[in-house]
Parts: sequence; structure tokens; C-alpha cells
Amino acid sequence: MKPSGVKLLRTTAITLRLCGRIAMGLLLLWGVTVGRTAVADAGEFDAEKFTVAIDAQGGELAARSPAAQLYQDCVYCHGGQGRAESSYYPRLAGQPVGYLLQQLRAFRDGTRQNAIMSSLVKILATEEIDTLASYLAEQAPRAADPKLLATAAAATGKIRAEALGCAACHGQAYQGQNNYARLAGQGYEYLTIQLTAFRDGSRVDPAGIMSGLAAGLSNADIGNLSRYFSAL
Amino acid sequence: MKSKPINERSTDAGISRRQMLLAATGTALATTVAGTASLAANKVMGKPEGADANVLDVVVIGAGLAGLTAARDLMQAGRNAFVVLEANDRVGGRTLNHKLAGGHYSEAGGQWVGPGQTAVYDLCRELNIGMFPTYLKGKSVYRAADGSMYAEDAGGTFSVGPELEKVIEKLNELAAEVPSSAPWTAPRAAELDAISLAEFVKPYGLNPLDTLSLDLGLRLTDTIHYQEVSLLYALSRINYAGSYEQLEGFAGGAQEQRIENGSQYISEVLAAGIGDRLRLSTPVRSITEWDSDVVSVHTDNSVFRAREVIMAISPALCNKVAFEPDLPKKRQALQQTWPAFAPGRKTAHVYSRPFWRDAGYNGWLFDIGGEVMWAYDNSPEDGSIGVINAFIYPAMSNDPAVLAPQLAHLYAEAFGEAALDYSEFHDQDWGEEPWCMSCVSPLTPGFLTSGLMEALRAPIGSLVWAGTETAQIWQTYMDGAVRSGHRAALEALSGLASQAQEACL
Repeated sequence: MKPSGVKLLRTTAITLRLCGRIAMGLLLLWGVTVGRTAVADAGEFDAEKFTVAIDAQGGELAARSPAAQLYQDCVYCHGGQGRAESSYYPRLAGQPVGYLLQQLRAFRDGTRQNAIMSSLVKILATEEIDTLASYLAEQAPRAADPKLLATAAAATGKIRAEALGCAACHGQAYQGQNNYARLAGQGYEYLTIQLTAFRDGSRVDPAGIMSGLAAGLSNADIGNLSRYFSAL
Repeated sequence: MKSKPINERSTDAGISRRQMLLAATGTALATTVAGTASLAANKVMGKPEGADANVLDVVVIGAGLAGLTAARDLMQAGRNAFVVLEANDRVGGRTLNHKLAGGHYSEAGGQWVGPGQTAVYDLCRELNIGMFPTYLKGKSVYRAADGSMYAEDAGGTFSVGPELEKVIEKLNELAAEVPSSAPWTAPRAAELDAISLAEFVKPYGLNPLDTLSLDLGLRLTDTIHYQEVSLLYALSRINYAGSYEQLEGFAGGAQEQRIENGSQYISEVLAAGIGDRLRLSTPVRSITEWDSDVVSVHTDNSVFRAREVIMAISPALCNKVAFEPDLPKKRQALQQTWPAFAPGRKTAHVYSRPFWRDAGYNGWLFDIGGEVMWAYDNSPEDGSIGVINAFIYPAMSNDPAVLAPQLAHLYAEAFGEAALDYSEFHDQDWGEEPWCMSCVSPLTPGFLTSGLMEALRAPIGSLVWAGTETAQIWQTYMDGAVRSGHRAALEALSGLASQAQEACL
């Protein structure tokens, strides 16, 4: 054992030595070297099963498509396959490729502002933006929750959405099309924040349609519309 | 040394005379006026120039550790004519305590200190704030995506396999040549900044297992995947810590100790010391005439006029303030492009006692490849209650009714059924904080060598820059924030002294 190995164990490195190392006898060696016995838990934990699982998991990660690997940069906020559970960060799974491309480019050229996205997108090459947009467009959206649709707010939102004619651009099932976002299943908080941003002018859509529509929305409208779309 | 302002300060005879008056009367006049509460209500906007009584020595923007440290230094130098403007309704910036029942606390933001962080150690000693060791005793639990688990007592450390060991050795070796105060001046700066940590690691051919471990470790450090982190940036941090192990370590490393009463307590004590000079819920919207002797700092309800302004907020946050005239191009570009994509999120479950300790666990849970990156024991020193904190993906549910039990079930799998009996749950997503926007963000490949970094610390006109990002060592840590506050106070005092000198000539 090299001296540096001892140092590494005595101090701490935030990378994990996983149990696969036990098979190699290294843990015991290191433990002895620094005068500490490292003991694997024998109770309900199964080191062997765990090792197999982690190896399979690592193999799966390595075998992922380049697009899926690139998406690892985004998973932190947008969730696995673009299906964030948080309603604050936009759900990107199943968004139209045209919309995703338009927004990523808007973050890059500064026409859409967001502290996180603006700096993150700047380091992406054009072809990486294309790759990410295609990858996310292909992912299946989250499943709808019928319970949410049964609320009064969602019902009021449905009527308002129909009166506004949202489906003309966003599609009959609000599934999104071309450069228009998928609204079905989008997070409630994200929707309210975006509608408010369109209303106060801090977000502007290229066609100017949303700015005009949002100008006439009350806070209650925004809440109800967001409840409805998020429930789909 | 403070750079010369763009507009020469002594060309206007009128200003010189006023300043001579101020210099003659000393700071007493300004102190008296600024020290009274009347200043807050005083809307000086539109008032003719010459109302010297309304001109402060310094406006400090941001009541985090950097701004409050600077404010304390100003007072110690006898410069009491200042205000600290804070956008939030609280102090502490990127440190925050959840206040728990029974007067307990758990940190939601930056929380650890370790060897070499002498600035924050000194400050705590001066303020009579104690520290205690991070709890490390017992077994850590590791969990795979399929739910299978493994536990071991590694003495409260993470250890590494031989392949990773080689990576770390090389990182340490390269870091020795990267001065943390100016990484762009390193001999091979351009080369090292051209690649990401991921690209650096690739040739080592780590097996999938090591790759997963590294990914988790680096996400915990930088809150983002290591494809986005510049190698040069990573090396600059290793440089200031001394080694990778000291940077990432607990025992003997930068996470060795915790602050009594929680890390935000340091800011609360500092704030108590400056009294009503602190204005909460007062976001600064614009700063005008920063290139002249008297700067105007505009908030929603008032304008504060001062000779010096300490910007104790992150470079990305500076970009939310409108400057008139425009800042120099380089500084503008720095603020506009400064990465702000580290929306860290931390939760806390509170228990009547740290029950996991009885069963020999240290409360650590690594959810490998999962969204709960790392849960850890964050109980108070005496263990009178139990707290499990966790770093989780912001993508997880933001509905506490969903998230709290979801996490508790995970803890129960690892530490036993008692994990389901939590009395409180807290959740803090820094990505949703408008006045923080992000935890300290890692720098991306190319940023350090973009030529913009020279604008990070250099004072411009009457503006000086603080915040942990501007520190020379321990950037991203609380220690860096304290250091930056000391430096900014010195620069502001120097600016005040040179103004007074010019006025007397």
C-alpha cells in the first residue's frame, strides 16, 4: 500500500470507496494500516447484492446514449428524462423539439433571461443544443393525475383556457406543437411564474402572442389556468 | 490599492471645498447624522447637491458574511457613517438556519469550517462563537438504485479505490501550480481551463463504479455534473485547501467543524453589532454617479448617497443592479456571464433524539445515482435532539406532504423505523431564492482565462467588490466571504482617505 493511500483514508476524499473494493481486500488492508477495523454490516444489508446492483447501475450509465449522458448536466433540476417532480422547474419531457430549440437559443442569445439557464447554455455547442432538444422531445411526459383535474380551480381554468383559445397554438390536448410549448402536465408553480412573467413583460415570446394574452389575466386566472394545465 | 476613479475627483472646486469642510470637522458630523434613524426616512432624491450631512461614508450592499464583516471593520476604524442594505428580510446571505422547536437549529446553507480557514475561525473567536466537530462516528449506509444497501464504518471518511487514487494524486500535483488568487496566471492556465473535470478523468478509464462515485462526490461539491466544471477551477480550489483531501475532507478537512447555534448565527451577531444601520428588505435597484465623489444608491423608497460603496453580493447578483453610467465593458461582461447554476437544495428532518447513533450509524446515507445525494447527521453538539439533513436534487417534489415522507421512508430503510417519527421537516431550494439565485457556482471551462477575471476584484470609481467569489483563498467558503469583507473594508477606507487627501490639496 502506497503511503498516499493511507493519507487518503486518514483524511477524507468525498469520492466513495464502494464495497466492490472489499473483494479486493483493500479495505481491510487500509483499515489495518491506519489502525482501524472497517467492518461491513452483516444485518439486513447484503454487500454482495449491493455490489452487483452498483456494477449494473454503473454499466447502465456507461452504456447510455451520448444524448442521455449530455442530459446528465440537466437532471439535477429537470429530473430523470425531463420529468421533474418539483413543480418549480420546468418538465421538459415530450416538449416539441421546435420549442426546446427556440428556448435554448433564446437563453443563449439573451432574449430569454434566467440566472441558471443563461450561464449554463452559454457553454453548450450548437450541436449539443440540438442533441438535447431531440433527446427531451422523445421522452415520454409524466402521467396525468386525475385527482388534480377534479378540483374547482382546474375546472375554472379549463373554461378560461377554452375562452382564450390556448389550444389554437398549444394543441387540442395542450400537448404542444412546433414552436409552442407543451402545457399538459407542466408544473403548477412554473406555469404561474411564466404566465406572470409574460404579463409583466419580463418574458417575451417571439410572436408576441403570449404578452398580449397574459396582459388580460388576473392572478386568479393565472392560478386556475396553471392548475388546469398541470393536471392534464 | 484602489484604482483611480474614471472621473478625477478633485477637478470640481465646489466638491473640493465641501470635502475640505468634512475633512476639517472629521467624521463626527457624518457619524451623528447617519447614526440617527432619521436618515432612513430621509428621501434625498432630488435634493440639491451640497447636502453633505446626508452623505454617508459607505453604503454596504448585502448583509451576508462579507458585507457584515466589512461593516464591522468600518466601525472598528471609527467610520460609523454607513448603512448596510439587504434585499432579504434576514441576514446571512447563503447561510441560513432553520429555527427548530426548543431553540434548536439546522443549517440550510453553508455550514462547515475546517483547518486553514483562519479568517472565519478568528472572527468566531472574537465574537465568542464556539465550534464543535462534525459528527462522524458509526456506519455509513450506501444505497443502490434498486434499493439494495450496504453499511460500513469507514471512520467517517470516504475512501477511494486505486484508480481514483491516481486521479486525485494527479489533481494534487497539478493544483500546486495553480495560484488560487489568480488561477489564470498559472503556467498552463489556458490548457487546464480548456477542459472539464470529466474530460480530465476520461483517460484514466475509471470503471463504472468509480465513475458513479466520482459523479456523486462532485455533484455534492459543485452541485452540478462535472462535465461543466473547469479543471483549472477545480485545481484552484484544491490549491487553496492544500490538497484534494483537505478540500473535500471532514476530519482534517474543510468540513471538520460546525458553528455553535448554526452558521447564520455569525451574521446575526455581526448584525446586532451594527444596530439600525442595517436595513432589511431593502433591495438596491440602481447605482448612479458611481464615477463621481458621491455615489447614489437607489432603493424602492430612498436614495442613499455615499462616498464609497461595497458591493457584497455575488457577481451574478450584481447584474441585477442597474448602473449609471454603464460599468466598464469587462466588468459588465463578467457580471453578465458569471455562472449561477448551483441551485443546491437541503432538507432537514427533526427527531426527538439521534436514534441512529444507538444502532451504530453516523446518520450518513449515500443514495448512489439517486436524487437524495447525501443525508447526514446534523444534530446539535449535545445530541439532545436528532436532525438528519440531506442534499437532494432540486428536481424532487416541492410538496412537503410528498417529499417529507418520501425521504423519511428512505431513512427508515437505512436506519430503522424510528425515522418515520419526525417532528419537523424543512426544505430549502436555493434556486428559488431571488436574492441569492444560486449557491456558489463552479466556473465553467474557459471562464477563468476569458480575460474577464481581472475585473472581479478591481475597484471601479467608488465601487469596491466583496463576496466569497472575490476572495483570494477559500473562495466559495464562509472563510472566503469573511476575507473578502476585510479586504473590501480596507479598500473603502483607502478610498475615503484618498478623497479627504485630495480635498486638502
